[in-house]
Amino acid sequence: MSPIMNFPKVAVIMNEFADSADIESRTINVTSADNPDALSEEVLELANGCLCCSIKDSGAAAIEKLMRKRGRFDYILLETTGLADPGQHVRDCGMTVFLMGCRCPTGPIASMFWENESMSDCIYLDGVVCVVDGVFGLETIGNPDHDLSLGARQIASSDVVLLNKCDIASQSSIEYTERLIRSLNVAATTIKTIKGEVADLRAIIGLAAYASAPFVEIPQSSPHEHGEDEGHVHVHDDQFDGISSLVIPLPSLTASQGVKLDQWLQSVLWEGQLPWHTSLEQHRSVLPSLIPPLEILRCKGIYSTRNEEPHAQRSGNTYVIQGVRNLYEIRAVGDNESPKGQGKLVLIGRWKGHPVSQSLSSWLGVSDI
Amino acid sequence: MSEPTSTPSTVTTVTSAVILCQSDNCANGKPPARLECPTCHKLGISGSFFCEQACFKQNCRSKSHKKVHDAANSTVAGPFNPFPSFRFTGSLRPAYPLSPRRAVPDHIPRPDYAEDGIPYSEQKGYSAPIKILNETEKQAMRVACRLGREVLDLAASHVKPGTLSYMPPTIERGAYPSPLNYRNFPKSVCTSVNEVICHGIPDQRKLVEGDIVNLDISLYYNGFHADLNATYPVGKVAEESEILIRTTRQCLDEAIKICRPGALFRDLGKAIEPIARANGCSVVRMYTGHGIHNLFHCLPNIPHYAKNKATGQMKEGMCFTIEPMINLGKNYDVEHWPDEWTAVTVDGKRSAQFEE
Repeated sequence: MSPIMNFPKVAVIMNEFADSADIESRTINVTSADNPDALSEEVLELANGCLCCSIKDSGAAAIEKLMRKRGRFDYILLETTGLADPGQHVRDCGMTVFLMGCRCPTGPIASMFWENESMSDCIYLDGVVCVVDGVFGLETIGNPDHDLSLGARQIASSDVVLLNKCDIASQSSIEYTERLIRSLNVAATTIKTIKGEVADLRAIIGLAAYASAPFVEIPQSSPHEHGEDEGHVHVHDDQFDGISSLVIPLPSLTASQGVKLDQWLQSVLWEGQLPWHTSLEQHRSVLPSLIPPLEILRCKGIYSTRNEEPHAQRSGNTYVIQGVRNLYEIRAVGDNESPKGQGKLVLIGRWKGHPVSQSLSSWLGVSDI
Repeated sequence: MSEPTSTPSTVTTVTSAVILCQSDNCANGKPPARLECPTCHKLGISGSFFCEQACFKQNCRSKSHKKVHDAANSTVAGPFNPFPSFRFTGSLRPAYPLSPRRAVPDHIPRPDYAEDGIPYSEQKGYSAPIKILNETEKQAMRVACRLGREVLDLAASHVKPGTLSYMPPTIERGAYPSPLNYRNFPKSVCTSVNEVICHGIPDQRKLVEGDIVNLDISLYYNGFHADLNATYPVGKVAEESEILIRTTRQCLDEAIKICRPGALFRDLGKAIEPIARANGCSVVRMYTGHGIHNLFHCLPNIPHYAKNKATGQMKEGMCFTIEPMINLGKNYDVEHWPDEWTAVTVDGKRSAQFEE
């Protein structure tokens, strides 16, 4: 057994409406009875209805309280209401919060935990895990009447997608759903499961999806990849609710271009505006007003800066970009996580119709994006 | 008043979760409790919660809890501590009963929460973009803030050993004291003594030579809220307290210096935290500065610590508070008294704050 399988305690926080909480908690207790040695689980209930609707703080604060009171938990599993939908993982010195199936978009919850990370030394956002029903998932994601973007948004903000019921869903349905998930979110790992069983828990726990290290594991290729065609913008055509992934390669940047990139992200993520270099200002007016506004749900990126001083000892730094909705962070990482010269920016959200990569290249003053 | 990190409507829910069973010898290890003692409720003593009926009964029978009622009922007895079994982090104790709630004359316009404590418009406005004030609004804001400064300076002139928390002359200026009944806050001003970080409730405790006290004045005038505070020494204070107050003031000043259109909200904390650290202090993270205008608390959120992910940049016409809370020592954590408001340091060390 891997060490991570031996974690001593999981706190399960239910974020469930009162009626069904009891049923849910029984389900979870059964699970723990199955593995009495490996898992000792505890069920809590958040009184205030839906976590994301009731306020950012109560969730984060409740978890922190829980930690302080019974600091021996290794992981917290936070599960939210309703649909068999995605989730979120908050890691905490070996502790994980896991949000699954919430009626509200996952993004706000993820950003809530990520934003509040600094409030506690021991809790941090590990990642978002989403369960997609292999049989009915398509209907949820694809049905425009179904709160439109909910399913798509949840997949868009996930780091791992569990494609469940693979035993009873048809092969073609699974393949199609998988392709769909990938077009929505090229950066997420999809794992096929039966009855929700994950063979290796490391696939969903300890993701560190909001930390720097594992970012480089983001797949280099995509279903639409054209061989070794670096420098090509991979646009995924299959879209649901206008949400899809965009991968923009980033060349090695100068320090000042690094600052420009930061400004570009501010404009895009905070203001929903593509910034343009003044000489290309006319692009702004070209946009027809019918195009839905630019909205980025999740972004990840890695790039390196080059040292411009001649005879410099060091080659420059590598930076990782992480963002959920309008929150983002650029963090310097060690050289061993260097993207081997090939930086990139992954944007997941509604960007179709907006000349995103043109804006970025003009803003950075590079021609070859 | 400061804003808990993230949206404001958490205040009550977060802190109510904090109330542990008040039994002296709780068999269940003092879990968070929801059953309130009915006698205490009637007497207006908040925070008397028990985890279960058995715990409550046992405490009443052993008379340890009845002392609380007796103290409140007695007219001759002096101030009493309403939370005798609460493990306080420092030496400060509440001195109840509180004075009667201040009546605000009808002619003074009041914010929407004045009646039932719920800030409806704030809750609605929380996801709205940051308001840009026009010239008229800016002017109204200036007037409110000038009144606020006047009230704070007047209140501060009464800070000396032996005085009670001062009742701010807000109503006399035709303004509503914003804290009054905001999410059921019982008083018109927050007075935070020594280890109290913020949101201290003025009670019967007299100031003592060597104390430090923060007066946080907020008022609502002509449709706009003003909010400012400062920490004052009571008589002669220890050098450590002097350093704390000076450091906190400097933190605020340096943060204000970087404010201009185009500056990033996230950079304020980067101006504040290094100063605090260099002086052996830490920056409280749980509470933040906030937008302020027609609403008491709104976007933007202004974290005061360095490693924050605050979004947005400052633009002409925005109005917000910066109000760093700085603790002596390394611990920036916050604990709450059972009154659901008083935020104290977990190690009992002192904390100061300035806000403009």
